[in-house]
Amino acid sequence: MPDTKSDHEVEVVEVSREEGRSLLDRAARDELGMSGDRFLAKWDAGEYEDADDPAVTRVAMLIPFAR
Amino acid sequence: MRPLQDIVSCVARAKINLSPNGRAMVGKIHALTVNDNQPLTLKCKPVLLFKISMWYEIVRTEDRPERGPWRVSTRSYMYELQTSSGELVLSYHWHPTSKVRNPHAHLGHTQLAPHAVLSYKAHHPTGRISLESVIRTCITEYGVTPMNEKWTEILATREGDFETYRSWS
Repeated sequence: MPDTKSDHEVEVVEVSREEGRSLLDRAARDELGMSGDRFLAKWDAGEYEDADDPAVTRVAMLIPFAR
Repeated sequence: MRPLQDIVSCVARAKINLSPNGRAMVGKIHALTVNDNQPLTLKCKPVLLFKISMWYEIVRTEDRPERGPWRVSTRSYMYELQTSSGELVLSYHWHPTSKVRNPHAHLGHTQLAPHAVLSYKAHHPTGRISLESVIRTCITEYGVTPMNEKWTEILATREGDFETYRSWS
């Protein structure tokens, strides 16, 4: 692989659990107008199983940040 | 994460966020996003924003010893282009744990006429889409200025790895 210098230009950071939960919470509020905890409860209850709104996917993609 | 760093570096300076223990914990689905889940601003006119989210798992490379003992295997993805105001343009999804299990794309309602038959909620089937191919399309079709002069070589190399080692297509 050529020397792309990407290590300097694209850094990788592992977030803490608290930071991860905050990330999910912000996304849930921005996309769906609810808290991250509320989103997770609805997700776990299966309320999004038939969801076809891309906004739900944007939030769901962040679930591992909070767990 | 070196492949992903290389790929993203073709169009942006960015930070990749991994979920807790996302560098090493085996047996767990991890997630990644970029820039604290804020979209990348691509250098083009009109400006496009680019969101990247993925789920991945760290797995043993039992059948590919030349790659070392571990590799990252994608479990779902979302590659989304937005307008400068954050409206959806085009989003490639694969999230096999949900109702729509196959890869698909959503078209942004900003790109659709008011009474269009197509809907942004409709799932338009696609094959498996690589991040490399989406970034290449941004450069070649939408005039995004590459941030790395070796972008052609980088994307070709990384996409070659993707096609060689992916477990499904």
